[in-house]
Amino acid sequence: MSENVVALVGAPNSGKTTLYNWLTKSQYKTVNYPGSTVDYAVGTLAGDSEIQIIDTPGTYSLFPKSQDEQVTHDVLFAGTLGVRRVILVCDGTQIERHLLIGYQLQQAGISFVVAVTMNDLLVKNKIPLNLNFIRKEFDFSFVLFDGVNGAGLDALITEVKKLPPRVPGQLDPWSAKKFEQTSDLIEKKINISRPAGKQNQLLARTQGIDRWLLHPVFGVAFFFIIMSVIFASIFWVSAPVMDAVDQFFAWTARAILSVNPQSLWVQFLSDGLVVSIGAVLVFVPQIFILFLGIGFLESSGYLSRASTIVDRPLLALGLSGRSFVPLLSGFACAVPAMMASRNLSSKKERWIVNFIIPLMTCSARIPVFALLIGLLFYRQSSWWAGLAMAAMYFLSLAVGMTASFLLSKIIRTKEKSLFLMELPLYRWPRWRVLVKQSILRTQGYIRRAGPMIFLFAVILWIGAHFPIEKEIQDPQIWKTASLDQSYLGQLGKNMEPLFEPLGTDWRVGIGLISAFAAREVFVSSLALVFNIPQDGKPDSEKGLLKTLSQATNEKGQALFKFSSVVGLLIFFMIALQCMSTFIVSIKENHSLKFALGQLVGLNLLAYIVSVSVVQFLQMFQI
Amino acid sequence: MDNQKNRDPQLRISLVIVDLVGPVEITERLREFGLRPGVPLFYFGRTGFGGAHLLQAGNAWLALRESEFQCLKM
Repeated sequence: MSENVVALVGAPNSGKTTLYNWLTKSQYKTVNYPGSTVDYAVGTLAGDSEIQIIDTPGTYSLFPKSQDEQVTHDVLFAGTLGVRRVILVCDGTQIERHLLIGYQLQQAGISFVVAVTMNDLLVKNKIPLNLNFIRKEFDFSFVLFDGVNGAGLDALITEVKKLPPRVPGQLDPWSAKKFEQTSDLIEKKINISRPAGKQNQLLARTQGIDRWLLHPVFGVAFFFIIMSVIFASIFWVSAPVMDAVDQFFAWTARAILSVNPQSLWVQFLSDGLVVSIGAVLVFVPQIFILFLGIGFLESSGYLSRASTIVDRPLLALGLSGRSFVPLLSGFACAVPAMMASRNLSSKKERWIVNFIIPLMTCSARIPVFALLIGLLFYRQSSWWAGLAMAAMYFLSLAVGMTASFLLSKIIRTKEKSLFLMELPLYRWPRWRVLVKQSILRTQGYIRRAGPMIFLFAVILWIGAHFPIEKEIQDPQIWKTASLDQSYLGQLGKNMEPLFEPLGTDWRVGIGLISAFAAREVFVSSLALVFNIPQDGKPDSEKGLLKTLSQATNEKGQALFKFSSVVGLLIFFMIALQCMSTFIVSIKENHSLKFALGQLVGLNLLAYIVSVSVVQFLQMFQI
Repeated sequence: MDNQKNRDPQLRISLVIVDLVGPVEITERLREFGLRPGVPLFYFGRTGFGGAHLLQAGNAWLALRESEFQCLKM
């Protein structure tokens, strides 16, 4: 096994991932929240592919108390990755506490160097950290590293290369006395190197902000305002860009169709591919705004405050404030959100969180919600749609919380969950980094959803136009089937009894079934199916919203009535229609039974609740 | 630390930890955070809904749940 494996170890939020990115020239997401890395990442040192670098989840000591801390412990001691050297990453502003791991590494006989980060804050606040003094006091090797400009990186690499490779030994448990004596010793040594009382100035600004953002009354109000603004801005901010994207695809579809309207290939390109792909891509600006909003919360330091504020209410529902971060991540995507649940100390809490994560309004639901809300408030101010979007987020949270409460009553355990939250200093996000990371995450969304949308566009278009036959007057021209005579139409009609209680017809049913491949496909399916009038000629002149708002059922009544749109919103809010989530759920919970129960349970619940709501509303002719 | 005082944004009470009592998994984590007998700290009140206690111990700015806060004897 290679002796050139170096692990980055340190407390959460100490700057390990930033250092990892500098060492390997990667672009991993770094955030201002303790516990953002929940799995290890492996890369090679830029400029020296012989040396492997491993970024580990943050840990406060080498005695693990949660699944992510166990990962770090195993990276060092399980021996499978062959770690022979360690870089202990310490936040310079918290070095007294973060050096505790140094003594544990020393006891385990691990070869390590200390990288002192957050130097920019120390310099900015004129707080001396006299490294020459510190070097004399400790028999560790120290290097200053600046995560903003990379200063100190070369010196750190040189120090790492000098370290003798060593197989990690054993770490005996520490008594309370040993913890206290070691902490006293570190504090004494560090305090020699700097004037007393000066360090606290660093916290003053953050505490000044927290006096309001964590205030028992105003803090709660700020929490709701901040969350509402972020989720409502998904609609408000992105509206003009969405209009532009929508017009671009409508223009492209018309331009392609004008080349040869009779050609099946041209029709497929125009109404199959361009319309389907455009129907989903039009929502990309909203998804970008969502990632930007969540990124802002992560990098500013507010996420820890939000977790702190909601801890007490979540406790009553069987969760803790630490569950807030995986749940919030679930608003972007359930897959990383389930992985983020690893930093929860209680197994019961992890199971509950993983069960309810698919209920959070993920980015894949945005196109669906945006379309359905657009139908509810067609031709009305976008402010209403924005508020309705924010309401959907809070409603999905409320459904998740109810499920959590019920599950916490069913699953009984004596396990205690830990909260103890370190509140990081507030920092202004670096906008360039934030925008870049949001673009990368949006690209990831497109890459994930794109192939499925393309595949279903092809399948649905063929299904909606075939069988074909030659025109009687002109045998050179192939005539496509009308929608209700097509394969897709026949299939939909056979399944119509299933969709009727939802207040919809078979055309919407086709969309609902195809959404099990990926939720976004629902939108492209509707775009494709409703773009085909009964005479078989496509109509790409109208926007999708206009087409749907004018759609009627067989009785000539409006198809998308208030009750049926609300029913669809509820169905999509609850249903688990994502195969990636299902697979990750098996892996993260180590149980196929759990994942299957989740899949069947949530989809059944979605159907029953939405049918009940539609039937109730229809009693009042709504 | 009554409710009226808790609503005062300027609240800052100076305390010293005398002992740590309670479940090992909590007291060990508190020690890892630098909370140990003899350590002075500032108390800043609680968050909404009768939530977490806000403390400053050395340079650490921490939020502790009631059950964790009760492990600190001051």
